[in-house]
Amino acid sequence: MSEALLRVENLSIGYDAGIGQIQALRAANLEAHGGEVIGIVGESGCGKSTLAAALINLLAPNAHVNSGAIYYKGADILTMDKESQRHLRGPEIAMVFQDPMTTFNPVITMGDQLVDFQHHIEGVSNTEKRRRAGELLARVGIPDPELCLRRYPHELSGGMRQRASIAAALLMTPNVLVADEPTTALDVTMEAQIIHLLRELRTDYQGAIIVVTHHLGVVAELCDRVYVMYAGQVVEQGLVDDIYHAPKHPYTRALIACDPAHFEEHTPILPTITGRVPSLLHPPVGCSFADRCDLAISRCREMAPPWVRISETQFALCHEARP
Amino acid sequence: MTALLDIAGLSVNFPAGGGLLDALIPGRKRYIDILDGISLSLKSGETLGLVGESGSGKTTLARAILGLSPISAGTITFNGAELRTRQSFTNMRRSSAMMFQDPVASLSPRMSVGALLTEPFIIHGVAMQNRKVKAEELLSRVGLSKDMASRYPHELSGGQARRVGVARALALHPKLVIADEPTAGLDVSVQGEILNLMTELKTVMGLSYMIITHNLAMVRHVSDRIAVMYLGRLIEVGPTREVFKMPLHPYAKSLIASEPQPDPRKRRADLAIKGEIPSVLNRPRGCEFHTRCSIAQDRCRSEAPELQAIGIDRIVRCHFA
Amino acid sequence: MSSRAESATGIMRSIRSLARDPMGLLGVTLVMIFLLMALLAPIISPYDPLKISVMSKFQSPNLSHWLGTDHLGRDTLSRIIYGSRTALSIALTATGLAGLFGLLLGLIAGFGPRWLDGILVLLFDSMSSLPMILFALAVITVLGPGTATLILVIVLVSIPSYARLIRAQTLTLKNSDFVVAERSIGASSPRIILRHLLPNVVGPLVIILSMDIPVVIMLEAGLSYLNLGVRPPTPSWGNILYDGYTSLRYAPTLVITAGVPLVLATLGFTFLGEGLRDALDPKLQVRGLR
Repeated sequence: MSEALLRVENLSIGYDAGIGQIQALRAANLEAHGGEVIGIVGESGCGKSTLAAALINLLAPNAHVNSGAIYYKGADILTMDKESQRHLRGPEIAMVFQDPMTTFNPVITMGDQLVDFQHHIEGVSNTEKRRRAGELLARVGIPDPELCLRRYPHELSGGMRQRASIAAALLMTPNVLVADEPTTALDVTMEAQIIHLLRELRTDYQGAIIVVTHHLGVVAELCDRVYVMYAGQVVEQGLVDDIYHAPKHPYTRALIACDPAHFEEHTPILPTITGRVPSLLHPPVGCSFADRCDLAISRCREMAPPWVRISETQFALCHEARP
Repeated sequence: MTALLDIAGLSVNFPAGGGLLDALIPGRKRYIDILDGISLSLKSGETLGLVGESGSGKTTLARAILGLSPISAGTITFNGAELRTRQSFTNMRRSSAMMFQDPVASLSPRMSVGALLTEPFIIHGVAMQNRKVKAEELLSRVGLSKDMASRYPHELSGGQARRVGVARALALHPKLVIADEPTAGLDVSVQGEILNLMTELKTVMGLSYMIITHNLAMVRHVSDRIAVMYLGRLIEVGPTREVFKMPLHPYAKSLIASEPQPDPRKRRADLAIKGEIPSVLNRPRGCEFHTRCSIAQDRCRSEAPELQAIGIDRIVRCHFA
Repeated sequence: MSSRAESATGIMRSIRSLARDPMGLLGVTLVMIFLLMALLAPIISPYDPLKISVMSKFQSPNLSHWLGTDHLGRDTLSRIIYGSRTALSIALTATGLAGLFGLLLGLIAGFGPRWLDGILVLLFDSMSSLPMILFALAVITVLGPGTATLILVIVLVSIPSYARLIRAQTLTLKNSDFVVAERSIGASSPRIILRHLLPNVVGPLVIILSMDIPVVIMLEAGLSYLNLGVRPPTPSWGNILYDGYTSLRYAPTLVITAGVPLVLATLGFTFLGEGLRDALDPKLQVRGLR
């Protein structure tokens, strides 16, 4: 495989919480190549949002990078000076947020904002930038781009705003597009349309798309490769088909089994994962999933699990995982 | 089995505007058509799933049933008695309950969980020996520990707040529980816990549920029948299994097809439905769905279809069903 | 668990959390000092604040008159101590009454029928569109200057802003999920207003009120300075300031000694207000992580 566009190495991030540090992210590794759609999936508190925030360098003020690095085109973005980091955001790495309302300033028209998103492009007139914005709005499926450019954000529906925020991100021609729960706030018909749009974008977009979500259906529909996260760790990675059809980590298996969309037949009692996620204030020494795992033996509680190579593309963080 | 709840020809209009002048000048008031011609019944012990996109009017319907939204036309009969007066709704609220979409926001922020749980008893003047004991009993019924009683709503996790919502809804042993998006915002693994809890309590307490949701995967497993709504109209009603197997209305069909499948081998190449639900302020003429419908004809643009019965237990509102 | 015990623990928690906040603690301390000064004025004042002694006028601070004397030889410290009594009694009465009426009218406007809301809002707007000083002058002309008139003016002028605050809060809360949830379990309107709306709107009001107390103290000082408020010789900070200002050339310390308590009281109530805002909000009370 070619050199990765973005590479997260051994990244650990904690949040100061007064009584100690919450280990939100522990030794996470991730790679994204151009033209690839990556899925980061997990439940709330698994660290996926922290990872996404770290990728675009927008960590909360009380977050601490304890170790690790994020290499973008070979340079560590975490150790860059503030100015270089700022130049990276947008033109190189852009983000689509869950609530598209947060992307836009409510008192400025869409047109002016979309022109402003291109501020880093030099030697192009505002008329030209506006024309480009209109083109991209049409590209993301907004029926009347000219009208949309004259509107204020609140005058657009949720689905239209999400399309516009994808257009805004693409306007900056980023090499990496991070989408944090891009469909969570949308209805199912609009969700399907946004998935369709993102999938269709791949044909003419050379960069990497990283989708962060809790929705297994979205990942299955959209992604090429998947990272499954649990309690601050990446517990499994692999091609989307392997993750759904040959998962090796017990958590991945349990998570997929829980999804009610998984059953064709009427299932009155749905499977659940018993127990709770361990406290990340003092993460367990052994496997984080041991207390909820059917396969757990004493070794799982005493020793940190190894990163087992299942195949060229699939890895699992589990004592019991076998190729 | 007799119908526990029977809704016939229900309409809800909201006044538009409504300033001082609108109130003073007669004839100035205008109304927005939110719900129209809703006829639906719920048998005792049944779970009905009410599905549709946001803006389809499903939450308004739930509120109208509980007398929280004024009804413009039609009747609601609960347990054999027609709900018309304020008093009849108050009586009905004694034996019905609602679970709200946002579990934390629907709990009064300055009351402790214990006070919230025992409030229904105080409101309806139902005797209880000891508030503390009662609160603990309700907490244990939904699988929460006793010390939760002294917590405040913002101190609860989504799943815990959801359980408190369930406990509060079931406090007075209602006959009917209306659950608005009971799993919204919950993780997949917790979703199952809440749904299983609801199913278990249904069997133990003999409840009937009306579950309002846009989560088709969930409603498929918990409901006996489903009713699909679009822009304030009921467009299809039938047994869950049959509707999922063979939806009759083109909207129901595309809604079911839109649901992302957790299986990369079942990816859809095409798009089941385009565009979005129109605004109630700008209601399409004729059939409300014709703007997005793949089989729409001229007739659909001018003439609104009526609900028609198909077989013994299915109804659909489409010219071509 | 009785509801009284619960609300008591709520208040205890608020007090504890207020005590943890250094600025809030400073505010409480300052306010307590002024309250004690006002209450114990006759005991702690070294002199009679009205006693004129022409022989000892314009004295600089010295051992027998800690803060000096004014143009009539009255002891400044005693006048300031008595002045705090005037200031606080006017400020607390006026803001208390205004807050109470504002709360009532705001709840009625917010929760009541729309036409009533329309009328009340019209009333609030026309009240606040009157120029305050002209309005005050008009009322004083009709009723004559004095403490009662001063309180009346302040109450009338401040009701609209409190009522509007409460109305806005009530309108938002009226349609919030938890109020709809309460209605869905059959709670009556009085119960919703008393048990669910009131506790949520009173917090912000108390904060605004405690932050407005210094404004009223200033207003009292200002109007008294203009000879429209508290009549001399009753000691008030405004009167002392006025006297100090007219005799600035002979006794420059007088202005400062009357200004300092005014500033301290303002800071004290403002800090208290900010501390209360944090303490009254259960969401901001840290209780250790779950």
